[in-house]
Amino acid sequence: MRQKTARQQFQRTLCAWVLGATALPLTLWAQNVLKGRDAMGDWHNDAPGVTRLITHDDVVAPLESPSAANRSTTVAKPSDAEIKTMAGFKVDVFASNVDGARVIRQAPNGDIFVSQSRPGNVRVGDKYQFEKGKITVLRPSPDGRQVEKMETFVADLKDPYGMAFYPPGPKPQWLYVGMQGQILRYPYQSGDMKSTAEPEVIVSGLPTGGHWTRDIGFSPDGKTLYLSVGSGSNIAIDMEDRPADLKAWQKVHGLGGAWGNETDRATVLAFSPDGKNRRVYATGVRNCSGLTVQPKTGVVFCSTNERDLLGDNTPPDYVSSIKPGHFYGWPWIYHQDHEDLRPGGGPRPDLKGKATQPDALIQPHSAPLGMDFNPGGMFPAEWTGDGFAALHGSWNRAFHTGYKIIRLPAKSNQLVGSYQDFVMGFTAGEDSVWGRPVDVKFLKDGSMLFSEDVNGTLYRVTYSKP
Amino acid sequence: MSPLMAQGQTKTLNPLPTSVDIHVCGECHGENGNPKDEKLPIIWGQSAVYLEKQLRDYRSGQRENQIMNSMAESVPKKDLGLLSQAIASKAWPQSRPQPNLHDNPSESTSATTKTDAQTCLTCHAQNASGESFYTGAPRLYGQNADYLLDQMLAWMNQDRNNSEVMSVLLKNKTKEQAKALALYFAFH
Repeated sequence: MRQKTARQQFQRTLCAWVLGATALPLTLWAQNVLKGRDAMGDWHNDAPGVTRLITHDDVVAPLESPSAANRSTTVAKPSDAEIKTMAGFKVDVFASNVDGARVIRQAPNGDIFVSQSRPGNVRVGDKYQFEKGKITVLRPSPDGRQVEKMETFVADLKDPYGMAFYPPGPKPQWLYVGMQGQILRYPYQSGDMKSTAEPEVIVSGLPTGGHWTRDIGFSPDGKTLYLSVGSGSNIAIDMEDRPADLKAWQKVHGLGGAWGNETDRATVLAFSPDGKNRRVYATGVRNCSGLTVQPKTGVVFCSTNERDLLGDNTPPDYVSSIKPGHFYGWPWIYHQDHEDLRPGGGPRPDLKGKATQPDALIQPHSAPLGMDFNPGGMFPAEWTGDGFAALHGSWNRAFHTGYKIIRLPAKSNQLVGSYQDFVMGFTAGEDSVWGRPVDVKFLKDGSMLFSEDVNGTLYRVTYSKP
Repeated sequence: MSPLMAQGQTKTLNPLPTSVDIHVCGECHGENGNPKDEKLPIIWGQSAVYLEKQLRDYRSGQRENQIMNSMAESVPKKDLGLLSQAIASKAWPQSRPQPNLHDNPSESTSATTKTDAQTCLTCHAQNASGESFYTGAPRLYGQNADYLLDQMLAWMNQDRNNSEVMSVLLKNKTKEQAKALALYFAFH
């Protein structure tokens, strides 16, 4: 008994009809912009090249539609399923059987590191295997099209997710790995496909439970290590009473810093590369599962999953620059001035208007995870510097949304705010999906890799002018 | 006769507050009690004490699952008990799909597995009305095998740690033993 209102059905039909009539000439990439409510939609009206723009003014009132429970069932790729993308682009399987593939990083020598946070794809009667988390190295063939050699760099880890080579540049000495409770670093020499020594614990005592995807990255000068720590819960509903001296608390934990079991969660933290000098870099970022340092500017970006249970179209997820000392709203505020009264410890009207408005708003419940910037070299020249993000896909929505790769146009290194459907086709009917995109990473040749963790596949996207 | 009575339901249902809609549970766990995905547990007819503890742990994040963490938050804390009772008083599904076993099923009937299972049954055994001897222990008989295996592996990997007893008991099991136990309880 899924909650689909007549209005939703009507909107869906209308959108599909409008798109069917207008989305065909893909040369209209830039012109074809759906705005506001028209931009909000589900997998039925996704089409390569469609651009969507959701702004702060479009934030929909909470519970305008009921909060749906609509978990997607994951299946093997149906025989008639087809990946769709824009004209001139090609999507090929780069590697398969990389179970639970999550974050992708490329070493300076071209080797590709993939974290398999939770590779166990447990099926008693069917496929049966179980391992703890691990990091796998894939060495591409000279033409870059396939994997020539595959090795396990390190196995038996608990929830390895983000990875970063240090120091930045051509000769890294270590591979840093973000895990649920700690950050480790492994000695690394160019060409290593297997870890040769015990890791050092760089940061320990990170909170566990709740959101577990700890992403990491270095500033271009190598002086700062950034770490994202997602919230422990959806909306801190059971957070204890507020600290007696809120001002003093915020001095240490940042503007809008949560407390109790949510202390220093929903944050980006910063450290020295040796793990010392821990400080709160930004607050209120509910679950930054894709932390990326923009190469040209050193600005930290996060793609973030916003809160659940407020209805199909509330509130937008976002991909945004994250400014030091800024507060992005969780749990009390969403999108600058929309108050959420659910958190424990009482309301915080004092924070209204103090939350920074994120750069690019994404269809609510899309679940953006990894993101990267296009360095140029293969994709259309006018796309150089644009952001790309992987949408893992919804559960808290009557009709599924997300399950695609999007392009986030940028101008002068800043996201414009709109996004464009780029690669899609992973849905198989109303209930099932055969791919959930997790991370995007541009390779040295300018092609793009993305991972998906349903069937454990890495895809490579290439472009040649049509 | 209410639909619940028609399913052979005999226990009295506590009236649920309007904020709680049990149909939402059925979206994933199956309106008829059989979850759409065998990696999800059967919850209709499960122990109310156990269900309430899990909902509380999901709410606090002590048991981790993105969807369940949020779903448990959507129920007022004071109503978690009533919701658990309502779920518990629905009928455990009578029939469900038979397994498609490519692996050697005889493993699940080996003497070692039976000995292992006896240890589990110290707490998990049910009486005629489906209640475990230890009220906090969930029913295992007839549970989805994929779910049972998934959970045992989660205990072994410390991904699930909301019961010290289970963490200790499963600490030194191998994945083959876990699989055999999952099959034993699902299909015996």
